Amino acid sequence: MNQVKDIIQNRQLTYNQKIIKLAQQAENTLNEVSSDDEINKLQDQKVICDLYEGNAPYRPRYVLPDYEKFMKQGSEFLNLEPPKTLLEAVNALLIMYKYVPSITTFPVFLGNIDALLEPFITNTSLDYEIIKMFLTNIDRTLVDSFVHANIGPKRTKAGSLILQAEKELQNVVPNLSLKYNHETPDDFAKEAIATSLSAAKPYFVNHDMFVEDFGENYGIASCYNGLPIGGGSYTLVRMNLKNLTFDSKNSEEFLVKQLPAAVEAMSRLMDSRIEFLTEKSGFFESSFLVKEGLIHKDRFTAMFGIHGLAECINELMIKDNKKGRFGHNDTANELGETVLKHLEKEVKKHINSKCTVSNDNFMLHAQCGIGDDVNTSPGCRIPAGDEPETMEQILQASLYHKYFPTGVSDVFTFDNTAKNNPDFVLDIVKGALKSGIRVFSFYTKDSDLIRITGYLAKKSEMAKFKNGEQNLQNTVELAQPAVESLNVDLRKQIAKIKVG
Amino acid sequence: MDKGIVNKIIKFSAVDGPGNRTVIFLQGCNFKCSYCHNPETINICTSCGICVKTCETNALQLVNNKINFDSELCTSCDNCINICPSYSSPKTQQYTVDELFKIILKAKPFISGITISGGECTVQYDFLKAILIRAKKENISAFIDTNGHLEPQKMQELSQYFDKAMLDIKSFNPQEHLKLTGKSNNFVLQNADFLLKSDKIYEIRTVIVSDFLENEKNVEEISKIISKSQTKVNYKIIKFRNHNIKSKHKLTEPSDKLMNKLKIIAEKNNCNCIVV
Repeated sequence: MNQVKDIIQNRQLTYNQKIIKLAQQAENTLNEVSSDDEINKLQDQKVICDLYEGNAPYRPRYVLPDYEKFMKQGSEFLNLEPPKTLLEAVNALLIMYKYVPSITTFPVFLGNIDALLEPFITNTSLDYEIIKMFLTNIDRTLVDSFVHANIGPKRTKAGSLILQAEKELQNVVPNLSLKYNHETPDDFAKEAIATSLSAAKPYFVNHDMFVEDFGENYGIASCYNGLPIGGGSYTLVRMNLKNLTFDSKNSEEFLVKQLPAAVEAMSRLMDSRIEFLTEKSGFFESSFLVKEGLIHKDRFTAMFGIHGLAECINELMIKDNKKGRFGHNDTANELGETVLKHLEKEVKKHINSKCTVSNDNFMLHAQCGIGDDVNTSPGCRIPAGDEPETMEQILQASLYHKYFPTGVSDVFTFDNTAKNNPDFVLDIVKGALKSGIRVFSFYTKDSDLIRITGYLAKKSEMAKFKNGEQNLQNTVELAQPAVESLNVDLRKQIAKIKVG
Repeated sequence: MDKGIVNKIIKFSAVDGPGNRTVIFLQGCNFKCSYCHNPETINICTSCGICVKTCETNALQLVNNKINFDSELCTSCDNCINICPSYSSPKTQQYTVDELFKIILKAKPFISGITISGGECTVQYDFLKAILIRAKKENISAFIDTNGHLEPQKMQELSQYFDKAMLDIKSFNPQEHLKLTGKSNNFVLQNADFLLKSDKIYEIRTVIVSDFLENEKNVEEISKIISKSQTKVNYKIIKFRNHNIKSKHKLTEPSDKLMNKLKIIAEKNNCNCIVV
C-alpha cells in the first residue's frame, strides 16, 4: 500500500501518469498468470522478463485496429458516421484513438494515416493546417512515444504534408514509419530523409520483407513491431540471451541444453498470459472493436522477444576459447546466426492454437531494451560505440533481420553534413534494405529529437526530467536512464568529416 | 603499373560528388599548395623510419629498410604524419585494380559511384586509367577529383573513361598560381576549357584565402569561364581553414562577409555558387 501512497504523493508525475501507475498497482494485486519453478528460476536469473505487463492481462499488449474499415463504416459504439471531409476524418480518428487499448493505455498503432486521409485532401492550404493540428493533437494527448503511425510506400499528397508537418513541428509523438519499396519515388523518399535528419523520423521500413511475412495488411506499431492489421499481439515477453549463457560450458551446450529449455519455459509463461486474456478476461467478448469487426481474435499472434545477442556471442566465444567479438569477426557473426537458427527452430516447436495468424506459433522479435539493461545490447545490435564501419555494420545486421518478422531495427547516426546531400542518405538506405535490413532508422548527432532504442525522446526534455521537473511525455521516464545505460551518445557517426 | 599506391579508401563519402561515393585517394601530387590540408599525400614514402619511434601502438616497424604498417594496431593518432619530413605517409598501401574492385564491388549496392582523388590522381596516370576502364566495365559511375595539371592531350584521352571531373581552379592568374602551387595554371585552364565544352565537369572549386590571393578577381574570372560554357556546373568556393597546415606563408581565414560577397559575384555571372 506504501507504493500506492508513493504514487499519489509523487511530485514528478502528472495526474494522468499517476492514474496509469495506480491501475498497474491494482492489476498487480491479482495473480492470474501461472508460473512454475523453472520459469521462476529464469525470471530470478533475469533471463526471462515479462516487461511489466501486469499479473492479469485484460487487453492485448498491441492492438492494430482496421482503421480503413472504421473510416468506411463509422462506429455505432462511438456514435460516429463515416467521415466526409478532412476535418471529419481527423476528428473521427482522434476520437477512435482514445478507445484503442494497449499495455501503455495509449494506442500503439494509428493506421496508415496517409492512405486514411488522402481521400479527403482538397488541395487547399487548409489541408496542411488541419494535418498539423491533427499531429499536434496526437503529440499532446497521446503522450507516449510508442504511439506509431505509418505512411507509404506510394507517394500521396497527404504523405508529403505529414512529412512536411513533422519536420516543422519537431514532435516526439507519433513514432512514424515509411513503408519503402520500389514503388516509393526517390523525391518522396528524399522528403522523408530531410524530415528524418531533422526530426529523427520516419523509419525506413522494408515493405517487401514485411509483405512476405504478413501480406499487404500489416502495420508497424509501438517501437518497430510488424503485426497484422485487424489484430496485433497478445503479449511480448523477452529473453536475455547474455544471461542465459551463464550456466553453459560452451556454445554447443548452450544450443542443445540451455536454449531449448528456456524457450519452452518462456513459451509456457506466454501461454498462461494468453489463456487468461482470451478465456477469462472477457476482452474479446466485450470490446466494441471486436463487435464492430475492427479486430479479430484470429488476427492476433504473440511476440517472443530476445535481446543481448551481442553479449551472448561474446560470452560463448570466450567459453569456446575462440578469439574475436560480435560485429568484428566472421566466426562470432556466424555463431550469432547459428544461435538465431536454433532459436527459430525451438520457438516453432511450441504450439499455441490462439495464434492462428502465425500458424499457431509465436513470432520472433528483437526487443530493443529498457533502462535497466546495463551492458546488454538491444535485440541483435552491436553494442553502441563498438560498431565497425557503417557498411560492415549494415552487412552484419542484415544476416539477422530476416529472423524477426515482428520487428528488429538498427539505428544510425549521421554527421550534420548529410543534410547537404540527401542522395547520400538515400543510397545508403536503398543499399541497406536491398541487403536485407528490415527497419532502418537514423538521426543527426546534433538533433534534439533522438532515437533511444525504438522510440523517440527529446534531449531537452530528458534534461528537465533529470532535474526533477514534470514531463508531459510518459516515455521520458524510460528514455532518460536508457540513454546512459545503453551508451546512446557513443553511437558512431556516418560521414563524420575530419577537417584537415 | 601492376599496383598503385593508395593513401586511403573511404567507403561512404557524402562530400565527393553526387550521392554516396567510395573514394580512393591516390598517393602523390604535382602541386605543393601553401594551404594544403593533406600534405601527407604529396610524396612517396622513402622509408626513412623517422616516424617509427613516434608510433605508440607499434603499428609501424622498419623491416629490411622498408616500413611495415599494421592497420589493425593503428589508432589514427597521426603522430607519424605530423613528424614526416617528406610530406608523405608510412600508411600508404599498394593495390592492384582487382584488389581495389574487391572493395568497390562490395560497396556497390550502397553507392552512386566512385571518385578517384588524391594527392593528385592523374600523377598515377596509368593506374588511374586502368581503374576508370574497369569501372566502366562494372557499370559503376566514376568521377575524378583533379587539380587539372596534366598535359591536355592526356586529359582528353582520360576523359573518355571518366563520367565527370571535379576540377580545382586555384587561381586565374598564372603568377599567383605559381606562387600558390609551384606550377603555372596553363594546363589547368586549357583542361577546364576542354572539359567544360565536352560536359565532363561536375563542379569547379576555388579555395579562398585572405591576405594571400586575389579572391575577388579569381571568382569573377572563373565564374565567367563556367557561365560561358552554359553547362550546369556548380561553382564551389571553399573557405580556407587554418588547420593541419605546413606552410611558409601567412594565410588568413576569410570572413563570412567576404564569402558572401564572392558568392554574389559568382551569381551575378550566372553561376550556381555553393559556399563551404
